[in-house]
Amino acid sequence: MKQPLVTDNTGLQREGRAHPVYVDQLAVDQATLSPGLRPSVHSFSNKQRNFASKTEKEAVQQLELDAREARAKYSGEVEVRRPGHPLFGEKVRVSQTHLIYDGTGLSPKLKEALLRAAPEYGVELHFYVP
Amino acid sequence: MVSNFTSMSPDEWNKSDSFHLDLFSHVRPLDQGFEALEPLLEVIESLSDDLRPDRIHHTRRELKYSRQALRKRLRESYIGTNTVIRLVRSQPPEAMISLNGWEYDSQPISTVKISIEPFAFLREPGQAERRAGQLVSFVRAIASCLPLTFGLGHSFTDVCLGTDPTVKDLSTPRPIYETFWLNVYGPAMVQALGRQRLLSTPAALMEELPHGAVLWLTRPTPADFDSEEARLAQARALVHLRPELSLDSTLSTLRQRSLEFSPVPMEFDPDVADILRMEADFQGVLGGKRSLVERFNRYHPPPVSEWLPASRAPAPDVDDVKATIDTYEGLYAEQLVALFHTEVPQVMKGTLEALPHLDWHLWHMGWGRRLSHEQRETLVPSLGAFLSRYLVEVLGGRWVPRKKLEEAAVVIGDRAWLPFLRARHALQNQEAPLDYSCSQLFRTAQRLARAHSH
Repeated sequence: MKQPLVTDNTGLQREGRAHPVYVDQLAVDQATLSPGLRPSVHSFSNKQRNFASKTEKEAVQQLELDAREARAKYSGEVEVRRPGHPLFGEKVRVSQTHLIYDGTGLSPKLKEALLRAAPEYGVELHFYVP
Repeated sequence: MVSNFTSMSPDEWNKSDSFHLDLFSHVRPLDQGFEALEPLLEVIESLSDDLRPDRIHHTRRELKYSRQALRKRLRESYIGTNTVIRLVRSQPPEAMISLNGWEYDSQPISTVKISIEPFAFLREPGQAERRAGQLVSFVRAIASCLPLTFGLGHSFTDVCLGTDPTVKDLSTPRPIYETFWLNVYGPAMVQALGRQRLLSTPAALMEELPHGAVLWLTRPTPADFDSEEARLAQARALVHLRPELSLDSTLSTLRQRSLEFSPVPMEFDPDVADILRMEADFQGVLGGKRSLVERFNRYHPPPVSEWLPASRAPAPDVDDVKATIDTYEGLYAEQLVALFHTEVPQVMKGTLEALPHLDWHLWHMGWGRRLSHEQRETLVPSLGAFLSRYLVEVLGGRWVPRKKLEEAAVVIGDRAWLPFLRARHALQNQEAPLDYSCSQLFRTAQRLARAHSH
């Protein structure tokens, strides 16, 4: 992104839902906000999961559940509900849904296995190590 | 006591490894409906008993596998426009087969993947050839119903240690970065390399597949992927396909990687050996186990300093000795169990192995560094009291409660141990849970108590 604007806990309204959902972070490339351009919008869902003693298949199952949730809530067409946000009130298509795991409890092997599986489940995966 | 000198088999050393077979196609079978998937399911159903999956894993509730069940729950395969099907085994070995349809660079792509854990399954004496043969037949059968663009079968750890971006970036054709035990090149790659050049690659098996793809093996089985013979075969094949590379440097890179798979004896300080071993096993070969073990072999924690001669230990200065001990045992120690019972289930049982597991967890998760002031002030009494429990209950120690927690002691023989002071030291920085482990204090106290009673 050229000019990223990242906002926390940003309300997103999806069609057919009664209430907005709040995405952990919404990143918008302000360089793509000019008329005629398609805004680049990325959503980030942060999850803390206990991967201790999980096997590969159990870890992938967890990834799948979190990816399903993130895709259901923070992908596709959304209306930004945060007042003051440059996209406030506008309907935009989320370009990419990201999932962020706390990486401390994940073994290098599970990290690799999950990173490689994530695109198949429709998300880009990152690890946060505090 | 943990055995100090351990000689280890390569399988034991690399026990977290798995075997991965990944096949890629630009055709997404489910896009043409369930019927298009059935030939692939037939291939999976005809795997032998020791590989065939029997459970559907991607559905909301895990189900017994049948084609009908899968068809009935087809809706649950969709995540947006992606489709996932994951079949697993309920019996060892762990095997996971996925048939996924997704997008790469806005292009449709599908994958057929098998992962088998542990890798040792493919090394089992007397079975290695048959199992390798079965995987090769699987690839043949899949290739006859799905046009393949690329594929590989290899030790997952070795793939990850390599530098091949192909498995992450699937646009073809592209230079070949690595060769694996099993290799599938689709028509675009075959054309880019030249079919004749490819077919004359030194290989254990070279076979043309339907839809213009080529399947080839560097070795008869994946079992010896890190051996000198296998590395030579991988290097020779790679240099044949990319003549600008030098055999010597290709081979030396691969040999270097093989070193990671050869066990280094663990000669850890016995007072913290199990903590270090948990960390080495957690990191595994992919996490640089070899250099970790070499570093841990040189590591010795500082001698335990949190004690006084019993004769110099101050007398209790609290108003109610019994009530204070009840607070230590009933409140503080229980608080620790409440805090850690999920992540360190051993603390629930109160067995001796709980101490090293707790030490490792505190160290590994960076608790010495991550705590806020309030969290630290809560955890110090809990950890100190939890350690004290072992000194009192296992070693027969006697409580000496004090108003100032760090002065509170447990007297065993001629020493007064200061568990709360130890806990404070253990939580002062990143490495402190190891340098000031509960395990080391307990083991030191245990040795001295034994010596004292003789």
